Amino acid sequence: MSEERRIAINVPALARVEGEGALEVLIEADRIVDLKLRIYEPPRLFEKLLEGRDYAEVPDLVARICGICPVAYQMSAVHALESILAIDPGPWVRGMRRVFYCGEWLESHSLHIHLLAAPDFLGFDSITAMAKVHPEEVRRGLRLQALGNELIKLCGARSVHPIGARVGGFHHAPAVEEVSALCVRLRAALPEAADLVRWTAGLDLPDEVQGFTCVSLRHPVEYPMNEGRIISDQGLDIDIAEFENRFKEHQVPHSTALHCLLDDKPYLVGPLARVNLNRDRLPDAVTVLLAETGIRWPSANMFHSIVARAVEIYYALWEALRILENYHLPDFPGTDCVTPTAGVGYGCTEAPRGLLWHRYELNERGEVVTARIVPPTSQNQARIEENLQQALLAVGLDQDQDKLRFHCEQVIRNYDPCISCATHFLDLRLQRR
Amino acid sequence: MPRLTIIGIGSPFADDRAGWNVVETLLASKQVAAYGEHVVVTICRSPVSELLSLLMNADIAIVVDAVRYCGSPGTIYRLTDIDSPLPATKVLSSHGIDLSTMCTLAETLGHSPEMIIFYGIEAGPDNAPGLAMCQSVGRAVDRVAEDIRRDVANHFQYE
Repeated sequence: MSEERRIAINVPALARVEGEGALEVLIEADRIVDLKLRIYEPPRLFEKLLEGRDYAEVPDLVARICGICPVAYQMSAVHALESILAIDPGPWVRGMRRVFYCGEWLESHSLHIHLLAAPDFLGFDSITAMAKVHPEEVRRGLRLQALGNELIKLCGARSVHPIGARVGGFHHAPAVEEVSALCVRLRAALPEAADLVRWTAGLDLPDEVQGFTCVSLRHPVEYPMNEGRIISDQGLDIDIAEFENRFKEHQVPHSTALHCLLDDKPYLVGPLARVNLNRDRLPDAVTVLLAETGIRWPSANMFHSIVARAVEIYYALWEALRILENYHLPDFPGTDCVTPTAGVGYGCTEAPRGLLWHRYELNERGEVVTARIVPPTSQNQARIEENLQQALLAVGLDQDQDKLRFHCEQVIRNYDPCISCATHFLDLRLQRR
Repeated sequence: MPRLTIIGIGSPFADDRAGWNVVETLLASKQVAAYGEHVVVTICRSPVSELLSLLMNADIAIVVDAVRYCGSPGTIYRLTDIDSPLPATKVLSSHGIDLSTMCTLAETLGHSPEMIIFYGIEAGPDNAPGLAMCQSVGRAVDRVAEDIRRDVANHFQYE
């Protein structure tokens, strides 16, 4: 006797659609015989597009890869290119790049927590439904997101696809008055961000403990953003230049995004991995709040990702304040002394969704010969499929289709994949035999 | 005097640039500039991260975007009744958060503009990067910019 159920929703593509996803699950009797997270976003071929471009064009080009995390793409690119061109932009640029990144974490995490993930955990099918019952929580999220946008604009001239970053630093230094005004708002937002951490920790999150490998950057003293070695909770500790020796991307037929494995196994990147591996790098105020969550860190419950995002929002406010409250105008916001040099360089930074690794080869004119970009979502894809397998078994394969579909959507959204997989338009094709 | 905000949604690609082109035309208009701070004209690069705050800070909003509905390229749609849901455009939105969602969310949070006028310009079938805007959409951009100039003049005439 066989039973087959199928749900089909067609999602066409246009410019502002930043990715499309579907899930196919085949269940036979009491086991999952096939499970595929299909990402069929059209290939965008950015790496090829970069070939032949001058190094100076790269930051603005790669910013176009993502409308939500353009800063991450710019930062991984400038670090890689500066390593080839032997540029040390100095402490002012280094600090402001962290501020830039704080803005992106604030903006991206606030968006995901409030508009995408929280409705799942509160029993709503949309942000508009949730806003009717929890308007103040949504307003708080929007205020934090707006503050993130302001930080990005401060450094990047605009909040979406910013244009302020360049190889060697920034095009412009913000005025002291502008920074001071923003510091007041950042400090005022701290209690709201702390409340947000408590609120996420108080959500009725599924209790699903799984075994998985966490991977993130690790800096000697800082919570990682722009620099560090690549580490895992399984003993990995490598320079970013060694990434290709251990991490292998491969094509799967059902996805236009490459899958990436660490020593042939799935792994996790992103806020939960960062918090799990770097909580000893958080400042005291954040550490105290982390303890208040009641969660035992490191956490093996993927659904604690929403709490980790909130913790990173709180941290981003403190970190931006730490830097901006000591702000001064530099003589130059970046170095112009660049001599085109041939070579290979690597950049690896922590995008909101996790590790973002770049490799560039330049010729003697400073033009890109080859480029390679490994975004966090492709690194998480295999882990998402692994998570889905385990989650479906934990929920029970005999559950009705709607419940299984909702749980699968919840699992996928929880990773904040970039990005349409995170919508409520997951096309689940469930077959039972 | 209430603040009127004109928002052009879009991307750099082909017909999807229609909203941005309308805004650029209006930014060059002395007639619109004459209203000073009472008229804000802005492009929106990301409906997900920018549109809601623009709507929540507007007393009157005029929103322009390329659409796919059922007409030929360059067809203009004008909607003014925000009590009726905007046509569902979710399949063409990012994160599943579209203009209709943002309008509803602004209203739910008690910060909806008193009035939203929506102009949609039907896009052609191909919006691949590198393609130019098709001529019929280009002509529609000019017509919508003129219609909005008239909307603005009418609005302030009765203020």
